[in-house]
Amino acid sequence: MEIDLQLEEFDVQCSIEGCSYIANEGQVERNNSIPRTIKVWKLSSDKVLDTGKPVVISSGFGRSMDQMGSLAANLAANGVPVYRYDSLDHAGMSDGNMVDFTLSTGLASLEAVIDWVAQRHGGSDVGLVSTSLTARIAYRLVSTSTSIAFLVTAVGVVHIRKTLLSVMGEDYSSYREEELPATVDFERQPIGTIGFYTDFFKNNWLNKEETIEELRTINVPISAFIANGDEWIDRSEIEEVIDPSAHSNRTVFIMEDCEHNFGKNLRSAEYFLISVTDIVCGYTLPDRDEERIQVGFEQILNQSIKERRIQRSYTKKSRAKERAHRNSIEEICES
Amino acid sequence: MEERKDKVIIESEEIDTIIFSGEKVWRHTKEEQEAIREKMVREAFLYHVDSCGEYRDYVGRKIDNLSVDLSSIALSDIPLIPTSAYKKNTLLSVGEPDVAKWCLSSGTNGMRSRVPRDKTSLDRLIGSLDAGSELINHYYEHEVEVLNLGPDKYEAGDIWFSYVMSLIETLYPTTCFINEGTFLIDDALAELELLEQESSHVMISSPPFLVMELIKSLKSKGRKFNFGHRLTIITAGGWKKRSGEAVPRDTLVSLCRDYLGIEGDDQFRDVFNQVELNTVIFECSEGNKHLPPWVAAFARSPVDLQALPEGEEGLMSFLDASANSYPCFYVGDDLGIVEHKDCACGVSSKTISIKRRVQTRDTRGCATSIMTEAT
Ligand SMILES: [Zn+2]
Repeated sequence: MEIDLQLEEFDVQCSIEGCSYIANEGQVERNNSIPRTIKVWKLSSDKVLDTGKPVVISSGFGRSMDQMGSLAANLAANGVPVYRYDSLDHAGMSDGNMVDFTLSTGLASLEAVIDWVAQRHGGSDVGLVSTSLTARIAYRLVSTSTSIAFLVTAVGVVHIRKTLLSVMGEDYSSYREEELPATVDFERQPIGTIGFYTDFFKNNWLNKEETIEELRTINVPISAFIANGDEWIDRSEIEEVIDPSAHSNRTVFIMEDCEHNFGKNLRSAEYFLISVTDIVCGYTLPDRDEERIQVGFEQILNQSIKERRIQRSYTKKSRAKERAHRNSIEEICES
Repeated sequence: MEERKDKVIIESEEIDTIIFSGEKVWRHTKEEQEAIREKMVREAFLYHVDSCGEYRDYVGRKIDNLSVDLSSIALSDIPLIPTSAYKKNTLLSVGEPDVAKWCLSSGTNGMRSRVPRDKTSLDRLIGSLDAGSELINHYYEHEVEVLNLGPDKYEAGDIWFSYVMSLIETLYPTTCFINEGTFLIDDALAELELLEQESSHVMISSPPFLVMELIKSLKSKGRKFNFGHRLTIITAGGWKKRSGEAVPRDTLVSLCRDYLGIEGDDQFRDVFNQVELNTVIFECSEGNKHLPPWVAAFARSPVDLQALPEGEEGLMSFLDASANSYPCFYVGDDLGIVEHKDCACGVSSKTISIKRRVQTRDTRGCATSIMTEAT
């Protein structure tokens, strides 16, 4: 059965302090008074009621918002209004480039989106689904925000220093600032190091103890999905930080035979999708008595291609702009 | 009320762990591959005998007494369905509502094969694309630009070959150049002009005759590109209706060197698939089509369909454990060779090489007679 899915796009302005670059010699300091634009997608269906409690999905590091499309489609089909966004200074359609990303910019982006969604839906009760590095950001936000009703994390990072060591093969956080290379590669994409690593110290992101501390103050339910073959995150550390046996509203889900990129195993991704749909619907639609609707393969594929094409046409436009810019500089130089 | 659990285990099926393991698919030892193949294909056989009434009846006719221990049957003795039977029969191992797509062969004459695929089968097919593309190279999504000279998913409809090619858009940023059946050759050339200036790796995914059209157009315009190592051409589907214009692979590769500026033969790869097969089989840098461990292939005598020793040419048959919604144990119309190779690309596995289609009446007749038995 084909479900009528509607995708809407919004611009959310973000002028929170966390979006600044770190002032360093040779670097430009951003003027925080100029708001920057975060692109937000809302996916809904005719099952979604005006009073429906919303959920925000934040994608993993380096991933644009279309990549959580099948989860968004399944939630929307079941009556949950779903919001996704691209963080500032990140992959995707929002302002800035990934080379300038810091976790604090990620936090400011997430906070701006949660506040905006909460406001649209009359206050609190926003659900949050967060993946990988963004989950670390989510733990911090949930520990202070009053707008978030529950949190689902997938392969969520809890100990950044250790994870980055596994990813980069080097602990750059032990380097002196002047020793840092200008950029380091993540999946062969350059990330500027000065802002990224300075932010870790300035805002205390690096250690597991800080995550444990933040988790201590979280009272909303947490469901944490762990990939048992995660090459970047120590499974026992997630269990230690979440500590489900000591909290009656926390559960860990262990996905067997999955790596960090658990979505690569499409069959496991399917079980993840079903479980998260049930969890989210349980919180947002507690009175629902219908059976779970599952969007068919072909419709998910069509929706995914549609969303990828939106992202792609944005990337193409940006590239054309860059090219024009390059050419005009060359012309000036030649003349 | 359900008891709250603080820990829930989400299990993965063994075959999925293997299919979705990316480049690790190609790292199993010869013994491990054989063990996986024996287990997965035999399990799939027992499952389909159990789940597909038509196949169970057919197996019953081929093996006199179904109560014999089917679980110890040699893989080469698993009863094969002739591809023609997929045209006349509905071979279905799941409930009809679970069929996500009825896939049609692109046959030019006569009836078409109709193969029902559920989500599990389609997911696994995409897994085979992902694993197979590792034989080309490991690219992150942001590093690649694909030009699909065939139709996109919407234009492809239910035609299997075009549909499979269009799935590449789910893996990499892709632009398609067929609009309402017309090849937008000037748009493709304009895109290549742009991409020549960029740094991303370019993949052209296309049936061979459209690569030839691209070359012809470049020739007539007197334009040559110089992509160097930055371009890979992936062909699939053969020449089909355009077989009259077919040029040998070496000629096409050499034209791609001249007009697109590729530097090595390994930048030209062919992939093999047919509507009945649920796995896409890729070529490595040495031009060998490596068989993943969940598929068994045998070349067979056209006379009695007995499996031939490795290296001998015969009718190609496949037993693919990744198909969940239909029994994928078939013998087709292609003549080819199956043999194990310790390949210079670093992969050591069974390989297939397709030589030609069966043309003679006798061999066709062989397949037809089995079809009659199956119907
Ligand atoms: Zn090879």
